[in-house]
Amino acid sequence: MDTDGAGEVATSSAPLVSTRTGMSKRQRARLIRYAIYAGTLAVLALIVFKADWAKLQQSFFDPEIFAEMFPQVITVAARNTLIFSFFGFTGGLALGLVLALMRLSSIRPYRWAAAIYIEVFRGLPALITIILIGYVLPIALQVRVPGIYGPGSLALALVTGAYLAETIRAGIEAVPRGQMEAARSLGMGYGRAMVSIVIPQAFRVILPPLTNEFVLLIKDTSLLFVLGTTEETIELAKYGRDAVNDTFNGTPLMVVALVYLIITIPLTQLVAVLERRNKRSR
Amino acid sequence: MRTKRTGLLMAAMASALLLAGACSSDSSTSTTATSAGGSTSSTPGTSPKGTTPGTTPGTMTPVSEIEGMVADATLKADGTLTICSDIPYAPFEFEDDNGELTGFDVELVDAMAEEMNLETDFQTTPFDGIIPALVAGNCDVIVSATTITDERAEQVLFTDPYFDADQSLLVTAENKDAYKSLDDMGGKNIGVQSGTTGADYAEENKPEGATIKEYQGADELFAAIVAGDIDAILQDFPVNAYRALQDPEVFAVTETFPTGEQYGMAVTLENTNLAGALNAALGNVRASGTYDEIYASWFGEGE
Repeated sequence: MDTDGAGEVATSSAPLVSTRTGMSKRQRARLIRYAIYAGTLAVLALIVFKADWAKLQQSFFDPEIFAEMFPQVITVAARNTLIFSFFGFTGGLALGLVLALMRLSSIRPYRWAAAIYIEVFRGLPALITIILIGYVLPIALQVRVPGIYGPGSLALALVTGAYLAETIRAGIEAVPRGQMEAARSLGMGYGRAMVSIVIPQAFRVILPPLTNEFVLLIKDTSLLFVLGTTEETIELAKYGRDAVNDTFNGTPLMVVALVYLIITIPLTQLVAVLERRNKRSR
Repeated sequence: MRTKRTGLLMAAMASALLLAGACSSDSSTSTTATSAGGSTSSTPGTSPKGTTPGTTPGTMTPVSEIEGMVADATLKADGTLTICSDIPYAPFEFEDDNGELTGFDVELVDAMAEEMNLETDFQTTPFDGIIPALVAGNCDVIVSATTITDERAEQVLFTDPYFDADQSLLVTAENKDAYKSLDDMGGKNIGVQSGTTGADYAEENKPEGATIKEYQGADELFAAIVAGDIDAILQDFPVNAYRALQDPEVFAVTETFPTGEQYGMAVTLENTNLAGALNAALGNVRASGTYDEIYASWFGEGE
C-alpha cells in the first residue's frame, strides 16, 4: 500500500510542519520506516555473519541423512499425520455441528449438556484428552476404541469438536435472522431451513477460522506419541525425533518441519482462493 | 533406563533449541561427552551372573584388613563414605513413603559400609554431572545404577560389577504361561521404550508377525499393558522385576535377556585403595548371603 498518498491527504488539512522537530509528519513517517528497514537488515546481516554455517549444515542439513529419509517420511509419516488429521477433523466437524445446534436449541438440557462438554474439552490440554481415551477408557470402562487409527482420531475429534462447536455457533448467529424467517415463511420446517439455508451461509462466514482449526489439528497429531507408536501408525513429529535419535543429527527435524509446511501452506492458500471466490459471488 | 542411547547431539540440541521436551525425559541418560557408545545393544551373555573376580563364596576378607585399606584411602570426611547418587531412581535409590532413603543401591552400599566400618552420607547429584562431581571431590564414590562403559572408565575407576543390567519380558499374570518367552509373541504387540537398548533388542529378536510399539516411558508401558494395547513389555530388567514384585497378581517377568551391561560403583582414578576396600566389602556382602537377601527384596528370587 502506498502510504505516501495517504500522507498527502492528511497534510492538506493539517499543519505542514511539526514545531518541535522541524519535520513534517510525512518526513517523520519516512524516517521511521527507513529505520525499521535498516534495523531488519542489520539483524539479518548479524545472523548471516555470526552463524557457523559449516556446523549448521553438518548438524541440521546433512544431505545424506536428508536423502535417506525419503520416501518413508512421506509415504508413512506424512500419510499417517494426514490420516489422523482427516479423521480427527471430520469427526470434530460433525460433533461440533451437533453441539452448536444443541447450544442454540430451545430445549434447556440440550444447551446445558453442550455447554458442559465444550467447557470440559476446550479446557483440557489435548494431551490429557488423548491419555483419557487411550488409557483411562480401556482400563476403567473396558472400552477399547477399535482400529489402529481409532483412539488417536477419536481423541482429536473430541478436542476439535469442542472448539468447532463455538466457531459454528458464532457462524450460525452471524447469519441474519431474516434468512430463517424467510425460509420458514416459505413453508420450510425449522430443521430444513437450518440445513439448507442457514448452515451453508454460516460455513461461508467461518471458513477462515475452520482452516485455522485444521492447521492446529495437524500439529496436534504430534501429541499422539503418548499412545505408543508402531511402524504403521508413526506420525511426522515422532518419526523425526526417532531419526534424530538414530542419526545423532538434527537434519530429520528440519525435514519434518519442511513436510509440515508443505502440508499446511498449500492448504491455507487453497482456502484463501475459496474465500476470494466466495466474496466475489456474494 | 540409564542405558538409554541418547546421543551427544541430542543433548547439545536440547540445550541449543530448548527442545528439552523432545529429548528423553530421563535426566539420567548418559549425556556426558563420551557416552554416545555407552549402550548400543551389546553382545549377550558375556558374564555369568553373580561371579565377579575375587568374590567366590566363602572367601571373606577379614574386617581388619578392609579397615587397613580404608585407612589408606582418601575420604572426603573421616569415618564417612560420601556417596553421589541421582535420587530418585526407583528401585535403586529413592525415598519411600516415610521419606526414608531406600532402594537396592542404598541397602547394598549401607551393608558394604558396615563391613568397612564407615557411616554413609548420600549427596543427591544429577546424573549428567555425577562424574564431574566425583572428580571435583564432592563425594568419595558414585553409587547410582551406573553402567560400566569404556568411555566412563577413562575418567573414573569402577569397582567390581554389582548388578547385571539385563533386559526382560514382562507380561500380565494371566498370560504368564502363554507368553513364556519372546518367541511366543508371534502376532502380538510388544511394548518398548523409545530409543533404548530394549527397543533395539526387541526389533532384532522379535518373532515373525510381532509388532513393536514404542512408548516414552515405563509409566505409559505399564498403563498400556493394563489397557490391553500391548501384550508384553520388553525393557530394563530391574524396572520390570520391581514392578512385578510389587504387583505379583497383575504382572510377571517371564524371560530375561543378558546384555552384558553391568552396573558398577565408581571412585576417582587415583583412589585405588578405596576401590580395593569397596571390592573386598562387596565380596563379603556377597559371601555372607546379604547380597542375595537385598536382591530378593527388590527384584524377587532371580539370582
